[in-house]
This record gives sequence, C-alpha cells and structure tokens, in this order.
Amino acid sequence: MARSALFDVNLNVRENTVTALIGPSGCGKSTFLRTLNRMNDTIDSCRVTGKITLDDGDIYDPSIDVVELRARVGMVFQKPNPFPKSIYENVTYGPKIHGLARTKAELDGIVESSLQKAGLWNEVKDRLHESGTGLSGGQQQRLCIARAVAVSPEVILMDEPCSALDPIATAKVEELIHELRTNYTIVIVTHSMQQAARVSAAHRHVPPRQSRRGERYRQDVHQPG
Amino acid sequence: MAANYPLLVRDALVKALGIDPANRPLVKQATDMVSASARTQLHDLVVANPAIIGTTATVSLLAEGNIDSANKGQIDLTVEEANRKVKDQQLEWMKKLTETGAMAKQFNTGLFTYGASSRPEAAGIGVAALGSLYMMLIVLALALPIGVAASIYLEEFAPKNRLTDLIEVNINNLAAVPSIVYGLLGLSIFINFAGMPRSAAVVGGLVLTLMTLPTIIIATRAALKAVPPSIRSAALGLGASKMQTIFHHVLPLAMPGVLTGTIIGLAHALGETAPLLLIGMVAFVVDYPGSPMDPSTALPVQIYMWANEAERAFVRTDFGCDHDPLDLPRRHEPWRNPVAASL
Ligand SMILES: Nc1ncnc2c1ncn2[C@@H]1O[C@H](COP(=O)(O)OP(=O)(O)O)[C@@H](O)[C@H]1O
Ligand SMILES: [Mg+2]
Repeated sequence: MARSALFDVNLNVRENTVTALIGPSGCGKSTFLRTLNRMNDTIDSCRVTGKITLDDGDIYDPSIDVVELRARVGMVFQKPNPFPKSIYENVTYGPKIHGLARTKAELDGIVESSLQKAGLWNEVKDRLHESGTGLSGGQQQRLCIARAVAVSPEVILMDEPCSALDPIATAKVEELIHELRTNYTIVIVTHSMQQAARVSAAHRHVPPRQSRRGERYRQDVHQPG
Repeated sequence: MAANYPLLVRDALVKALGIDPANRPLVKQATDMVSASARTQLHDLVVANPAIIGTTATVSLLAEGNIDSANKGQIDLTVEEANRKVKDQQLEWMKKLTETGAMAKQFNTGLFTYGASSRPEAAGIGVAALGSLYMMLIVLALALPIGVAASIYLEEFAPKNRLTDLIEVNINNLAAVPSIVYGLLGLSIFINFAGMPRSAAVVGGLVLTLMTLPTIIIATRAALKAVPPSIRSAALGLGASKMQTIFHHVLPLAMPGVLTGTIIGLAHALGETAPLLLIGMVAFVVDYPGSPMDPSTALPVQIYMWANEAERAFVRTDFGCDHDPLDLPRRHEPWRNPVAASL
C-alpha cells in the first residue's frame, strides 16, 4: 500500500551556505525539505525511515521536541502565507510562543531586526499595525522570511519561495537569500538553474526516480552542523 | 391585604353611570364591563403605596375582553341580544363613557409584562419571554462550548476510521431528526429517568441543546475545514504546537462560521414548539419563574396556546375564514375612569 516518494537519499548540508535542490516537478523536493523540520509528521500516512542529524542529534529521535526542532529549523513556503493579522503580530508570533521576549521593548527590537534582515523594514515601518495580507506578493514573502528569522533559527528551509512572485520581487528575495547565508544555513528548492546559481554556493540535483510500489518511503539524510 | 376591591370598582361605576345600586342585574352588567383583573390591579396599587388608603385616586383599569372587541367593531351586533356576549345596555354605556372620556383606547403595555391569563386583557408574553430567555441561556451555555469542542476534536484530532465515519453520519442524521422526537427523548431521559421537574425551563433548555448541537457541530466543522491549510502550515512551521495552531489561528478564522451556525441554531431553538409540548411546557404560567427549575412556558408555546382560546380577543380572526392571519391577543383599552375609590 505504501508508495515511496523518495529513497536512498544521502546528503550533507554545510553550515552557513545556501544549498539549492533542483529537480522536475513531483520528484520529491518538497517532501525531502519537509523531512528536515518534520513537517511531514502532520501527514498521517507519511512514514520516514533513516536518520537525519542536526549538530549530531537525530531529529527523528523520540526524545526530540518537534516544537523546539521547528524553532531551530524554520520554513518559508511556496505561496506567501502571512497570518491574517498585523505585520507586527506576524513577526512577533514565533518569539511569543517560544518565550523569546519578555517585554514589549524586546519584541519591538525583534520586529525591527527581523524586518531589517528581510529587507522589508523601510517599506513597512510606518504601518506595522496594518494587516500582513494587505502587502504585495513579494512583500508578503519577505514578511514570511522575517517571521521565520524572528525565532532565530539555525536553518531556514525555503520551498520555491519565488515561484509565486514577479521577476522584480524575485530578484529582491534572491538577493535577500544571498545575504542571509552568512548567518543561517539555508536549504532552498527551486525550479530554475539560474536561481540556484545566483543564490547558492552548492546546488544538488534531485534526480527523478520511478517510485517503486511496495517500497517504503525511505530517507537517509545526513545533516551535520 | 384583604379588602373588597371589586366593591370599589362597583361603587365607582354606579356613580359614573348613574345606576340604581339596588338594581342588581344592572349593576352586574356594569361591573362585567371591567376586567376581573381590576381586583389584582387595585391590590398591587395599595401594596405599592399603602398611603393611598383613605384617599380618592383616579386609576386606569382594563376593560373586559368582549367589551374591547365590541369597541373595535369585532362583535357582530346584528346577532340577537341574548346570543351576544355584549348587551345593548353595555353598548349604550360604552358610548356614554367614551363621550365623557372615561373610556379610551390605550396601548396595553401589559402585553409585555403579564403572564398567562384566562382573560385576554390581562394576558401577556412577559412570563413566556423569561422562560424562553432561560432556555436560550442554557442552550448557549451548553451547546456552543460542547459543539465547538466536539467539532475541534472530530476535525483536528480524531483518527479517521470507521468509528469517526459512523459518528459523522450520525451527527448529520441527528440534524434531520424531527424536533418532536427530541421532545420524546427529553421526556424519557430528563423527566422520567433523571427525575427533573416537569414544565421547567431547565429541561426545555437541555432538550433544545440536544436539538441545536448537530447544527452547531456541522457549521463549525465546515468552518474549520474552510480555513486554508497554508495558515496551519505557517503556524506549525514556526514551531506552534497543534493546540496553539488551532486556538491561535484556525479557530479565530473559523469563528464567523461558528457564530453563524450558533445563531441559526439558537433561532431555530427559540422558535421550537413541538418538543416543549412533550415536556409539559404548555403550562398556564401566571407568575414569573424565579429560576430555570420553576414551571415556565416559552414564547412559541404561548402563541400556540392563545391560538386555541375561544375568546375573540385572543385571536383576530377565526380559523379558516377571512384572510387575516392569526394575531397576538388584542389589547384592550384600560378605563380611564375616574373611579372615585375610597380606599
Ligand atoms: N500529502 C501527500 N500525500 C500523499 N502523497 C504526497 C503528498 N504530498 C506529496 N505527495 C507525493 O509525493 C511525491 C513528491 O511530491 P513533492 O515532494 O511535492 O514534489 P516536488 O518535487 O514537486 O516538490 C509526489 O509523487 C506526490 O504525489
Ligand atoms: Mg514542491
């Protein structure tokens, strides 16, 4: 019954670099990316076997708290998905649930630095309390990046972050990704070789494979710090 | 306060109409024109202000229901006098009193404050409204939290298997069960089995809660399903737990749908009559229920009971004739009669 989306994957992701994954549609790029912060756990039928380590700790170890893992490994999705709340609340939500800030001043500081890092600060600093969904597509995606950055993750996963954006917004986000690599380890899925070349130091090709019926979804991803 | 209040009314009428107090039949006809509720009206007046005793005061009293109907031209005067509720002598007095200003049409605000009464002029929806209010509060307090909690569990946490499929089908079926069946259920469970009081708003509230739950659950589940998955992913991706994702993001976004379902369910429950008939809420309740455990009735039941009354003043038109719809009891003009009551 089980159909495997991926198997025999073995990959090292280097610290503070951008690693880009390229491959045809449906070959399992998103699925792979989602194993790295255990987002696949939310799909009941999904099974992952093998080992993924982050700083030598197995992230699929039963003792690992998924909530903590996702604070360390943030994610930006294909379609910008800001919460239908204010820009300020979008950025502060993560720090609030993880207890990263105790005072309003600290939160304000996180909001400013995160939006700065996402290159959005100058555009929204006067309207922090307006809805995040009122921004343009490119701005929304940068807001989502700011939201991910706000919880100070070590790794940021990006699943085709520019596919819903126009070329100018794409250029901005690419530039941003390039800058972020000095502080974060980034794994990005993209459709375009050019984009992979622009944003990354290393890019890996995920070859399309015939899914073998009866084979378990299997992964063996090694991710040292 | 044992005083002979009807006597006060009689004396005042005899004086105003110039009748011979010794002519008993005539005096009886005159006093019949005033609602028998005058007795309680005067009693309440004295209780509220004992200093009024011994003074002469002008009070407004309600007219008797048939007199009111006659005054509004709703009684066929071509019928032979013996077969008529209102006699010729009374019609004559009515004319006289109207001319002197002692009798006038007024809106009877008692419609909103009185309870059940066999006299249409003293009947009102006040008591029924309080009964309905109690029931709505019970429904809101029980059906909303239970319905939302059940929906969240079924939609977000329950494993998808045969059992939950069965539960889902059953909830959908329950929404289609005729309401009178809920009345039977309430009668056997709450009254016969649990021994709760008959005619009480608490039982009515529980029955209507059962009836409203499927509506709220179906609406809430639909609203939860309609929340875009991208919002869940966004929250989970930030490290929010499942609970945090649901309560911080999914539920607030589903809230408009939840409230729509709740309002529809409540409105439905408010207008429901059939289940209440079975649990004894078709009661003749004169006094306000002090608590939901006391006998009470509900607005739709009150209307249903009035529709069965024979008095012309309870209904505007007879069933089956004429085009007028059934109406609330006609209201009656109090007598603005200078009843020189020597209290
Ligand atoms: N939620 C899911 N349930 C079942 N199968 C899925 C699910 N998501 C993806 N898949 C399957 O996994 C395979 C890889 O999909 P995906 O990782 O989304 O590809 P892409 O490389 O385009 O991102 C596809 O065959 C797809 O049908
Ligand atoms: Mg994909």
